[in-house]
Amino acid sequence: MKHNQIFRAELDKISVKEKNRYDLMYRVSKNIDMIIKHRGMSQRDFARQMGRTEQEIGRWLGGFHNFTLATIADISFVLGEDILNTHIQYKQTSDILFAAETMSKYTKK
Amino acid sequence: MKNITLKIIEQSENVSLYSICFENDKLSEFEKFIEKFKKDATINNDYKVILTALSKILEDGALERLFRPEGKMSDNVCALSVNSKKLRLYCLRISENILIIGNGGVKSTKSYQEDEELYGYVMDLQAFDNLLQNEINKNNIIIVKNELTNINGKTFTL
Repeated sequence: MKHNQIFRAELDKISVKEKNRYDLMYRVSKNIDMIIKHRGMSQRDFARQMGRTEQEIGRWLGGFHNFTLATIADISFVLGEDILNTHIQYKQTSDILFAAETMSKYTKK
Repeated sequence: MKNITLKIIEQSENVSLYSICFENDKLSEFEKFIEKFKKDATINNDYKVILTALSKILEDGALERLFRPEGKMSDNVCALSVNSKKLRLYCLRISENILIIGNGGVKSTKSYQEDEELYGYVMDLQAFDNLLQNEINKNNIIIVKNELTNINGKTFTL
């Protein structure tokens, strides 16, 4: 294992909030890729079913696309799976968020 | 004539990130990229996404879907495809386990060929890729999983 000080120092400057955002973006693209591969679909098949171009699908799978809620809903519909919920890490994060939201509700009361 | 060495930047269990380093330069091309853009607020998000993408590559591999081809069909030159509308980081994707990072910059023209600086970075990587492939074909350098063998102290002349 080797590390580069300059690279690590810059990674450390990215806030936890930003890291969380990038992680979610990456996980969504990873989930889509995983599901279409699992189904034996090509990117072309997926593009056709989505009514999008292969270039757009390429951008989606590029790792850090900022999907709209409408697109997430459409992809989940076409793939038959909730693309936000297929990763265990996401479930853990949402549990934390849910717990935080619940706590803040009780605190307000 | 430019003399180049390969410098290891990061290594995980499965992936090695290298960068090219010109003779008499203290920093590799990737480190120069960092120094150039770390304080540029106008492309700050692009910059952070590119660094995050590299950290993900160390975990999951240099997956093809994360890159867009940028050079010719016959070479390994690509750019990190991170939906960045402006900033590009050019690389040589040798395999899922080995990535050689070059320099990059803000793409303000339609193609990199129209920008002298970006064109220079891509040309350097293309020329280096050619030299590296020759060395690999002659078995002077061997790819062993996530490592390039016999590169310590080796100089490539562009």
